[in-house]
Amino acid sequence: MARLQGVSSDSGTGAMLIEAGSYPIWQDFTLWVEYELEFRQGGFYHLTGQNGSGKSSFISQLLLPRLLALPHRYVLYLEQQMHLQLFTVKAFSAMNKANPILADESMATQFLLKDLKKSFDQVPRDSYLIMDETLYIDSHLAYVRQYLQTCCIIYTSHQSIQPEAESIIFEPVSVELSKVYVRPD
Amino acid sequence: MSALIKFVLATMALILFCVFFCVIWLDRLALQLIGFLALSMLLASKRGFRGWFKQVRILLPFTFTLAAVYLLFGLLKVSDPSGARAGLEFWSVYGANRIMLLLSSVLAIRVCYSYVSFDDLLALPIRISLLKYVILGKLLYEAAFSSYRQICFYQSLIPSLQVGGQSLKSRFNFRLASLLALLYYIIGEAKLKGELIDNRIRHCHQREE
Repeated sequence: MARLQGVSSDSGTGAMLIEAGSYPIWQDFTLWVEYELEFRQGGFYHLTGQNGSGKSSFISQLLLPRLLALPHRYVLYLEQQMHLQLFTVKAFSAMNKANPILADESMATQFLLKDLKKSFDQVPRDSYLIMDETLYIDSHLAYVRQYLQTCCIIYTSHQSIQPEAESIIFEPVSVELSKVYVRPD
Repeated sequence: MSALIKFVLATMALILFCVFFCVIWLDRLALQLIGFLALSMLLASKRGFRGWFKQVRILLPFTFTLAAVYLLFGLLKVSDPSGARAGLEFWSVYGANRIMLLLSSVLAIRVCYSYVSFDDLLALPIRISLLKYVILGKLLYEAAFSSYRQICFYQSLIPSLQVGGQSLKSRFNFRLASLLALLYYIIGEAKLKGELIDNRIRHCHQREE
């Protein structure tokens, strides 16, 4: 099972490891991580594979729980369809008297990114930004590169392929199993 | 038994409960206690001990708050409803009756309408234009319960909420924001689902229109 590497509270020095092995994600679906995966601060990772290969499941069932279990870190997750997340962010921003009132996903994601920057400026910590088929991914990347250079960015996208990103491939072996590995250089 | 008869019987039972326990026996603590125990047994027989405990547990914060308020009245010797100065003895009995009634009332509603299923409600001889509110109510009820946990999860993913400790204020604000998000969600779902139901009614129940 995944072993959590200690993540220091100093920004830019931590990494999160997911050890090689089989990870049962759902009742009839397993992810097989061929070699250890390392997510470093300042790193840039593109999870790629066909639809149904387990990218979103990897994020929601494996990556996020482990990141949230780390002490002294920021985790920002922008998911594919922000339906319920949008209401959550709207409520939070309303209670914090944000102006203007958030009307759509674009405003909500901008609010969250600014919230991440503000939190980091006040208390620097290791930061992880995970984007799962998010709209406007290029503008989000530009913002993070400008204001949060040490942030670890992990994203999935069929449209936006960033050449400098390290590709992590999700390859279906069967209906019940997908293999996960880093694309060789 | 037909749906209408079940619904009428459940409503009549509830009205009888209100007449006896909320009016006639309001200040009879022993009877209030017997009522509570009887309703508890009925609910436990329908939903098991866990179902009963789950229901009572939800009411515990309100119960404790009420008890605290009446205790305070007693300690401060607040005047009773007739205007006379009343002490701890009066307010403890007065409060106990009301607390028992609160618990019994909720259990009574649960017990009476546990015999009326959702399919029974749909089979009632009422116009679809009214029945749609029953359907919408059930959909929103289910949506609320299934989404609250997810809302709390998304809240934990807001960066500035990952900084703070577990102070009472931060936990209170967290819960408040969760409830506000749930309210936004339910209002949005009510509009969306309401339109879908209206559209379906327009196409499938044209005769009534």
